[in-house]
Amino acid sequence: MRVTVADDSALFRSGLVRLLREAGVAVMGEARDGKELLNLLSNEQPDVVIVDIRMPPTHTDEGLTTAREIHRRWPDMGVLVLSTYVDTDFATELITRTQRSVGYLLKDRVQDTDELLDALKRLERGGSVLDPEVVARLMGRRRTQSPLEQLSDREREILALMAQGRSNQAISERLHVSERTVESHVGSIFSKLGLEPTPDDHRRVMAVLLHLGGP
Amino acid sequence: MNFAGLSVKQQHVHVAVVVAGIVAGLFGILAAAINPYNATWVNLVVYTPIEVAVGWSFLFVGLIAGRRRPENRVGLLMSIFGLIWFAYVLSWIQSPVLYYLGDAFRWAFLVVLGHLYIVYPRGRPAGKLERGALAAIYVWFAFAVLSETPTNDPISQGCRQCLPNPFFIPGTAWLNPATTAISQAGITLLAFAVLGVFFWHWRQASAPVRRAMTPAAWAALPVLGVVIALQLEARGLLSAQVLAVLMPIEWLTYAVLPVGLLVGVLRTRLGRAAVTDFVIELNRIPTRTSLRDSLARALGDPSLELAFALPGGEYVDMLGATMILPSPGSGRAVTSIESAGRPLAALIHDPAIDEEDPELVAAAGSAARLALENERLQAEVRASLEEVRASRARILEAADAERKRLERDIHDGAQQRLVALGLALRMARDQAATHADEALVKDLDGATSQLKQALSELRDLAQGIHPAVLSRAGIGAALRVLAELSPIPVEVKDVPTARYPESVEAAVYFVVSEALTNTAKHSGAGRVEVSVRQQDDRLLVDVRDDGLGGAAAGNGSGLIGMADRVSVLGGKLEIASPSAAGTLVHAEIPCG
Repeated sequence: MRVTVADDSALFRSGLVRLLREAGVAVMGEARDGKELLNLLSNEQPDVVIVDIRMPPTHTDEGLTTAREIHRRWPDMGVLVLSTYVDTDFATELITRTQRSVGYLLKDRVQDTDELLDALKRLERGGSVLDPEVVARLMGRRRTQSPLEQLSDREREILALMAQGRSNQAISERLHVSERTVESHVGSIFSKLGLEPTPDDHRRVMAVLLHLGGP
Repeated sequence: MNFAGLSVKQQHVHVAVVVAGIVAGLFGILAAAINPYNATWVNLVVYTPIEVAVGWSFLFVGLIAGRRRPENRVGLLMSIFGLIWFAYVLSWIQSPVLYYLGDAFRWAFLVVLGHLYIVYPRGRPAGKLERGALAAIYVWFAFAVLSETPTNDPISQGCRQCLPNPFFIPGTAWLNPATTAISQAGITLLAFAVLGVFFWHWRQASAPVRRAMTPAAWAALPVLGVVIALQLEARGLLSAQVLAVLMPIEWLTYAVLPVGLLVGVLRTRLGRAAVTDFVIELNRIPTRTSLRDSLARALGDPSLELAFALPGGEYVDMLGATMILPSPGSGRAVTSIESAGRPLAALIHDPAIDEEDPELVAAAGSAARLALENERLQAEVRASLEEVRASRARILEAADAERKRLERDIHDGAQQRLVALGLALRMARDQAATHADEALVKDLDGATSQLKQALSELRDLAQGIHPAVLSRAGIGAALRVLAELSPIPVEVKDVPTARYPESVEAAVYFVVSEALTNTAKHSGAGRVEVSVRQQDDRLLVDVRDDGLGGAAAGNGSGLIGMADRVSVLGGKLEIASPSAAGTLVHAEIPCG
């Protein structure tokens, strides 16, 4: 897998690059901001781009605009946006407004190499990634008469993993149950939430997030 | 130009005019008495006294006005009217030259009257319109004199007892009917034009000027009526008998005119009387607005404004806001009131009051000196308070900027460094694992989990100093993050999607944040509702819980700091927390 990294902190960048190389990921380039990243990408396109949300010049949401620009120019490229803070509105907007392969992870999550590599693989395959913390917060949002209230604990657990962007197979491995069991739970969740089942992971995440309401 | 010198010279001219008018009037009485054609008892008892009374009343009333207002030409013009009025007397002298001069000038008094009305009550033409109207009436008069008299030959018309016209130019008699008709039509047109200018003035005038003009306006209407009646008679539309009744009325009207003009002049005396009333009223003035209103009433100028002098030389209004005094030529006049040689206040008013009576405003201002000093001190205090408020706002702004900078420093510095450290630890752990160093792996795992804890605490700290999401996405997104982090379920009901000034967004955020913290700590509430709504130019913030109540912005409560923050922005914060009925924190923050 080939990856390009953009972050204005040189320290974090070099740490991340080292970690990725140790894990056998080919790092094709490093950029300090969105503009530099787009220049790099126009020469050589990796499978996935890792981009910090807060970069010069405004230090607010350059990551979002850069992700949109990347998807406009290279629709198949996966984009993983890293953030220091949990910004649920931003994450929801990123996932629901982007029809492409996109992910949102907290920065300190990348210490967990397996999580990071798993996320990159899902993005490479065109899937989506959403930080578990964001999913937990979305599901924790109180709404009157939320359809989530009807779900069993197990179903809520599976919904959260789906919302993170995981496949049925991944969920079954994580929960140590058979894939068929997961499928039947998913069917039950979808019918309780009034959703149409679809084989597309990304679409499922979107549907769930949209249903949870976002902002 | 020496104004006093001019007015002395003008006063000499004025006296000369009056003396000449007295002589002309006496001569008119004498001529009426000895003139065989005129010496009927009706003429002697009715017409002649009225005629003389009209002339002399203009002369003397003009003199009074001139004495009282030396710089205003209205008085002089009135006296000139009184003199010219007697021009007809010349035609009673059995001299051809004087007779025809008197005949030529028989309408001259109307020209002076027109002049008077055009420049009334200022005494000078105020603009192009007035200068144009003046030019028109004098051109008309020159035309009438130069075209009628030289073409008038009464002897050839069959008037045997008439004197021969020494100004007659032979061969022009055929022109006379036409020129007479033209100048007659001119009178009507100009009468309307003069009244038009006068009433246009009246409409444009400020209250004090209008007050002075009103009697003259009423007096003008019968004069106009008579002018029209004369024109109708000349065209045979009105019988001579009706006109014979109207003529004494016309004369009586002229006798009334100077009274109307005089009343206008005396109105300034009434202005002084109003100032006297005002001095008495001052004893009862309770509030600052009524001081202004009383002054405005006394000076007859509803547009009057007060400005108070600060020690630094600046001026402020009654609420303490800085004021710039109008410059000369701006259409507003400024009268400065001093106390012990130091500027105390300035009265900003209609310049017409000065033209009417230059001392009136200063007199009223001086009368109110004590009340003004009192107001000035209050305005000074308000100005200081305003300065304090502005300074608090600047301090808060600086503090917010500093918070933002601090968060940025933490984000770009310590947080990145710690995350990078986490990555390094992770790699060290993997190394240790490949060398099967179980103890080292365990140590490194412990270090990693402590680092995660440190990062999480640092993140909360930075978020508390300044929430990045607030700058990025505004109130809504930031409040939802607050709600997610609250240990008590929070429902964010209404939030505006619009963006507001940074200080306003920060105030809303910190008020809600503090209220949620208090709720979580003390209330035992099961749920909290947050709503932020915009109503007109205010944001209404409500945080309502279903807890124990009994909260107050007392000692140790962060809500005091929030109340300060809100009040700096000109808003207010209220806490309703009846015992056992939940707590409502309500803030209103101007956002316009």
